Amino acid sequence: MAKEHKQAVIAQKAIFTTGSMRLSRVIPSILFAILILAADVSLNLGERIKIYVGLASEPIIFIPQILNEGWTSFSDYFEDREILQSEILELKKDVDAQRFNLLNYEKILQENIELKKLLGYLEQTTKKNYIYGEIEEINFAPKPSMTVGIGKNKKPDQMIAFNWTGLIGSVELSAGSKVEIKPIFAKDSQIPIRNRRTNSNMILVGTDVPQNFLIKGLKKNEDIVPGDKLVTSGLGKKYPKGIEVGTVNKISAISNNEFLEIEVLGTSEFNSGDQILLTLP
Amino acid sequence: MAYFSTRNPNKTLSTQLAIGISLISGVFFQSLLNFFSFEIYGSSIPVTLMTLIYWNIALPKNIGLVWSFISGILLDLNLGYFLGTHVILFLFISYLTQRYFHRIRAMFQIQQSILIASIVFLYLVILYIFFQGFSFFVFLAIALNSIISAVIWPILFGLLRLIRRKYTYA
Repeated sequence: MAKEHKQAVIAQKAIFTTGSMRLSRVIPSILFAILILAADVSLNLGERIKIYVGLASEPIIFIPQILNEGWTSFSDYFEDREILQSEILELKKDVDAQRFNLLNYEKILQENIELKKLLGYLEQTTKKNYIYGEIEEINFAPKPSMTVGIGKNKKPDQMIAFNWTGLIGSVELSAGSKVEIKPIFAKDSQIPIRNRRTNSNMILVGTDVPQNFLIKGLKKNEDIVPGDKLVTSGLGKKYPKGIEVGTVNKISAISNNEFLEIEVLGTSEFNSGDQILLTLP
Repeated sequence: MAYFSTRNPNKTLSTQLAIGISLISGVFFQSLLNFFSFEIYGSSIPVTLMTLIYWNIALPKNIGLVWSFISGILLDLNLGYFLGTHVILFLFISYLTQRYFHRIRAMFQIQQSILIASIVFLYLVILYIFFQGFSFFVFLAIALNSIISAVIWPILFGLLRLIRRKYTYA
């Protein structure tokens, strides 16, 4: 009998168990909750409890607010950082643009200086006809030459070339809008010059080395000293008169030779600048 | 008999702690949702209710009237309802879930989710009808919240099951 009773209890518990809640306990609890609700509605009990609970647990209540403020400042930090980064990027772009402008400005300034010098050289020529061009290519091998771009329908034949440092050569070939300049220091180049100090005429011969010339055929009794300025004499009418081409650098006398060997340092730099003035002598 | 009577006394405290902490966390989370206005037309996801339902299904012997009472009161205080509103609802829902916990446990996950959606829907409808006001948009918001709750239920279920396995005797 006792065994049967035990089994019945187990079966009852297994089938009808409702955990720890029984209706007999739930109903009074719900009634109690309704009582609390009624008390709160009529006496505003909840408000008072909230005030006391709020005072007691003030730090806990502030947690959401602190979290909110923390999150706001955290996101603001990254937002400000992003704004600053974009501003820095924009400023960097501005700096690059300004650098580019500065380079352009320096280039224009240099061009102005060159053109001013070239205008000065133009004053020394007949000014009958002249062309401005820009250097496109410079070669030193197999023979020194320079290609200059000029406008179309120009006739640069027999013209001489100046850059901002001085006389650099003469037109050798012209085709379309391009001109090939033969430098004055070319080996087969001969320039009639005179010594500015003594006015004695002589011939300057190129050596194929930039700014390096020789004067040959001067006797040992010739009045010439290192430092003498040499200018074009205008003889032969290939080059205009009075343009400085070099300075006497070194004079050597060979014992069994009656002539002097004179080295001249050229004034103009062949590959300097961008602007070229082509003019008739 | 052993199933109904055997309890590890060392684990009773940790079980109660796990239930309590998870319920209070649910209240806190729901208050946060309310505070940050993550709500749809004034109603947010009832995380506390879902947590309570889980414990009622999982450990019906351990969760009694007290936890329903405490969590209900805390939620009323935090969300600004009349005291006792959530207590009545929680007691009623706890009773029903404990009454039928065998059947709910045996359900598939999707069936559980549908049941949770239904409970949440009824809970929110009662809250609105008696304590706020009802309109078509409120109905839509409640329906949407019910669907979201159903979607969240498997995640919450998995999370709480992890806690149960680690910190309770069951």
